[in-house]
Amino acid sequence: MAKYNFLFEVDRCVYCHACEIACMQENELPSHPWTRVVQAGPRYKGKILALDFLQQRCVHCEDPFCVRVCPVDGAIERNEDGIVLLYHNLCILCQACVNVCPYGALEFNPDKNIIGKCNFCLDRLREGHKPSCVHTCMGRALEVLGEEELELRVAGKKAKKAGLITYLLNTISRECDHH
Amino acid sequence: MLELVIDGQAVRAEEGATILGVARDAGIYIPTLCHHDALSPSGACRLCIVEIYPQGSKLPSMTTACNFPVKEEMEVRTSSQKVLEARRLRARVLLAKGPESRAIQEIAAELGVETTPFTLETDKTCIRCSLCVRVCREAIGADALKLITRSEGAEPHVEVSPNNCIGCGSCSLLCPTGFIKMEEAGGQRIIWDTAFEMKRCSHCSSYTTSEAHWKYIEEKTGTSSEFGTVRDMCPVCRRDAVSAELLDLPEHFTTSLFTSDFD
Ligand code: SF4
Ligand code: FES
Repeated sequence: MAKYNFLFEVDRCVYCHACEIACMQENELPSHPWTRVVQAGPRYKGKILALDFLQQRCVHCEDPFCVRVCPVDGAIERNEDGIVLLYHNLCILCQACVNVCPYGALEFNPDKNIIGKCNFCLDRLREGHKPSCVHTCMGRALEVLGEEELELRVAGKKAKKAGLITYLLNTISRECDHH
Repeated sequence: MLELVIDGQAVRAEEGATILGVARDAGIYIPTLCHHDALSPSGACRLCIVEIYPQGSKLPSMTTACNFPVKEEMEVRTSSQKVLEARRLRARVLLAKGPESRAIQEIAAELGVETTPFTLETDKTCIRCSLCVRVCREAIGADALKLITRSEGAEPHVEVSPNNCIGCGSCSLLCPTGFIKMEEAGGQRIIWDTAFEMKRCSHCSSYTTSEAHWKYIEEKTGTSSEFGTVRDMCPVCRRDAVSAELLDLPEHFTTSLFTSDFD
């Protein structure tokens, strides 16, 4: 059972980018936040006009490619809570992880000369706080939940899971005729 | 376990630990430039210099903390006047060799060194810290770089074996002075005067890494079939492909469907 389950609710995201700013503040990044939001659409799904916002970031895989490829022992590891951590003091900047990650979740940050990746603000989590992006989220699209709370939230709804993140998918849509 | 004293503080340490490691664990800061936690120490930059008094001795000597093992009842001083003077001298020398290096500038500033009496090298030079050699040999495993002394009395320099180099670029990014140039143009990455063909994103056509580095990555991670359709995409397109899948977008989604107005 995962201790931390992350929920992203597509309908709630308002595309304000507050999570990106929060990430940059928390991790002292002048650029290249470790999470991003994208806009998909507006587009037609048949007669339905859809516009979705989605957050992209490391999903913290169960068997991460980055851990497998890293040439330095312990530079990237998956901890007991399933959070995949990169230790900057051990990183040699070879970018094997950047190139291997199927989620495209790692990035070289030229301003800081580091490889960046979401660590779910582990320090904050350990102190009982929410990750910075979750705390800041304007639309309350992001949450950290226990296993049972998560089940309640997704019950009967359309959801998809990747790593530690559950995506609650859109339910709001409107038919549109002028096509 | 053995006991020693660092800056008047009694500390316990494992046999074989270095002064640098023990000092850090005790919360004592020692500047370093050629040290990297993932690589063996080299003792080249001499910025981590400290003063040591061997067990019971009143006669101090100077040593580099990054590669000197702690000894029972040794006394270490990390910021005595003598130590600081020695570090400042090193900082002045390094500042002359790499005036543009951010890493050197930062350490010099910490030591209160702003100018150098030595002649400035205007080009980005090699300070022979051997970070590149060590990362290539010990971490990447390509062993393409060596510090070689051509003739007696001459300064050693880094030499590359192009056949071993995979063009990953690690050395270039770790090099504190910018001496190792890496350029990308026309689908090629040029490093150490060697050109490497680059892998191209099947979706947006941008270039990612060298083909040789990609091969190394695939060999290390096992079957390429696990990558699925995103195998030949760049990280940005992979992100979008994942998003498209989550949103049940048609298979042939276009990246232009995704916009991110913030970078
Ligand atoms: S090329 Fe750069 S990394 Fe290599 S020894 Fe010289 S200064 Fe150090
Ligand atoms: S860090 Fe010890 S000599 Fe460079």
